[in-house]
Amino acid sequence: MKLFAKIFFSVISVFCIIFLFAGYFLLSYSFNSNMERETDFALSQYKYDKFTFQAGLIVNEDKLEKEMTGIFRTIAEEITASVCVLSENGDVIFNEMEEKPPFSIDELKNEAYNYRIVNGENKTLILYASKIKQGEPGLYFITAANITETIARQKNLQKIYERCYLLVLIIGSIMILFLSAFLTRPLKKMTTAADRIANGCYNMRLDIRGRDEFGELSASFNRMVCAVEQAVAELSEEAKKKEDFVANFAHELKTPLTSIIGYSDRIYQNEMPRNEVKQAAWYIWNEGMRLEALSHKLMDLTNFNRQEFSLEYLPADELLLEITQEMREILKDKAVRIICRTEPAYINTDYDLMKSLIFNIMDNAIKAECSTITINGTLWESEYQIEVTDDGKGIPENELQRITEAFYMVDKVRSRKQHGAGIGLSLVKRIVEIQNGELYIESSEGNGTAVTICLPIENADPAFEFMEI
Amino acid sequence: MKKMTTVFFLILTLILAYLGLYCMNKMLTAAQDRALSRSGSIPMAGADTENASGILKWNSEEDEAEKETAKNDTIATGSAAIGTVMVIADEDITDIVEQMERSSNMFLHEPYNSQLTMDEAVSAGNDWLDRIYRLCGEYYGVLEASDYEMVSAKLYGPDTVFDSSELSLPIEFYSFWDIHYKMKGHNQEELFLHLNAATGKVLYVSIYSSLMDFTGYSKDALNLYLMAYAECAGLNTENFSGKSYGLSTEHEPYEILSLDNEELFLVLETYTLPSINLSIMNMYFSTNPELYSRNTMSTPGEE
Repeated sequence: MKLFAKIFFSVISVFCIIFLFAGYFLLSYSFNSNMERETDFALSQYKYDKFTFQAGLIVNEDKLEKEMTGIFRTIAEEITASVCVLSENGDVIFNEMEEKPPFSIDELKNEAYNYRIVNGENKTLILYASKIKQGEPGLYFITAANITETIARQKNLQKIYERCYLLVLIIGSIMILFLSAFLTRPLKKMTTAADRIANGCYNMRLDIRGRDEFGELSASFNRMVCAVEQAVAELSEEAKKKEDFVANFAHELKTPLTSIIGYSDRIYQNEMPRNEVKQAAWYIWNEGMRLEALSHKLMDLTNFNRQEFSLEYLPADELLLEITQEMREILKDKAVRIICRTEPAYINTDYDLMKSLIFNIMDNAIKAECSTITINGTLWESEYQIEVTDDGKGIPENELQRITEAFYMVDKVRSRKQHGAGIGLSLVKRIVEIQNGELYIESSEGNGTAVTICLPIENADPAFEFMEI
Repeated sequence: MKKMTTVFFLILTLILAYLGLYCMNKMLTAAQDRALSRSGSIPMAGADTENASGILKWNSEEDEAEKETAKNDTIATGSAAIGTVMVIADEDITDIVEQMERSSNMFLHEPYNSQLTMDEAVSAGNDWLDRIYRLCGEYYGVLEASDYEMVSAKLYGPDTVFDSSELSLPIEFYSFWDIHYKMKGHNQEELFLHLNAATGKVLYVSIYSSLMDFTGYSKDALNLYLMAYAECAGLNTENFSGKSYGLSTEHEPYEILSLDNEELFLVLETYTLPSINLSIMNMYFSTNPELYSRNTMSTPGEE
């Protein structure tokens, strides 16, 4: 059963119960108070009539024995209620009522006003009776007050209440039906939206305003959909990157393998002179070296993604100088000048990571045919900036966005010649992320490249000490 | 399935609505039937009082001597039955009148055992009429007490809210018989008496006449009426200062006599209703005549 139907039935049921209970108590109260008022009024009237009757007896005392019934009739004419007079032994002396009043003589003998309500088919009467202490023998004076009209009014009131109940029930049902449908409309909207989102329409948003629970739920729903959309977009991006990575990887494997297979097949199939064999073997070795370099870089990249590194605060100036010295040894055959300027500070890093970072940046600079590489280590507010600049060929501005993607190469031919696979800057980016730092690359074609790495510091020495080697 | 459930609950709700209405009607009918077959008895107020009635013809002429004797032995407050004569102190009258003035609602009730029955009250009223006409008959010309007949008599008492614990006398002293007389044969004159139900003392008289013009009475005549009223009430007229507070206007005079302690007044007022050709004379006890007087009182000594 739907929620709106549940609300409808619940409200109607509660409404019926409350209305009926309230009606019962209200009508009962009305009836009881009416009866009480009628009883009190009938008693007052009875007392008045009794005094009138008694006074009539005194006035007509002399004639009473001879014309008793006539005198009673004359007196009774002055009384609005129906009158009955009983003798001391219970015989009816005078009676205006349709029947003899249902009082026994024994119950009338007490010093009290006796009453009885007689509910006939067409009439309802309140009978009052008591003894008249007026000479001897005693008489019993009984009157009947007609309360039929009051009872009829009460019945009428009950019928009016029934009609009101049914009318209110019908009108109330229609109103509650619309109200429950109106109240549950936001839920319907949410269900529709959820279905559409489930079918892939992630840009679906709910337009439910207001400060009630539905408004809040709608806002939360929209936030959730935003988060889902973002997550889905990220996952798609990741999936695309992986696809690209695999495609690039396959492509990077294919090129050297094609050369290796081609040259080895040529050696195997043909009788070749020694110098041609040597030339083919050199190509095979060269492509093998490329594959090895590629596998090393891929392993590094995989390791950096998987491995947990324990970083520690190390002196940046000493670290950079040491790495620079090592690089100088490695690049002593190349005509490249390396300048290193550092300020002392402690940075949160790992020695091997930092070495790999600087090596990859310098490797790229060398591949860009630079003549001078400058490494500047400076303190900047709460960061330590390592800026590696070169005077190489530079990178076109439109390529800067993608150069940190794996296997992306600006000049593929030149890069492959130099055993490059387009993974260096991907590694740099990952290493900076591991060290909780930030990477900025600025370059313009023909003017060299500047790679800036910002790393957090522990306690930078405020005393400025500039070192140049 | 969902639709089946909805239809089921719809039917259930309808059944609940109609069954509830049916049950409510049944319950109401049962309660009404119970109420309409009720019977019982309401005890008469004061039916259980055991005091014997000691008041009979207390203001009749033949008891006067006995009453005079009794007066000498009057207790300061309270009342005592001496033979058939009830003797009551002036302070008690003041108290009864004060309570009557204070009570806003009076209700009809059966006489208590120590109160006058209707027979006795009518008899006391007739005696009072006899006596007053004997004393003031010269002003009434042909009329006399036997020209009146009793029409109705009713006994009124304090309402149920009335706190009897605050009263200095038993509660039966605060009821009064309202007896209505009219002239035999025609309705040219009517007379209303309020008799104290315990003592039979007439505390209020009102005469409506189209035969007489009370406003034309001289001051001596009014004084005679007042003195006769006081005497009929069993008061010692020597205690009255006899001060007259004067006549307010020529057409609507009233006369007031006061007791020496000035706590109780006897008031006589006369006025006419020219539109219906009716002359009215009221005589009553009051603790504060200004409450009743229809005119502004002139100060004593102005006359």
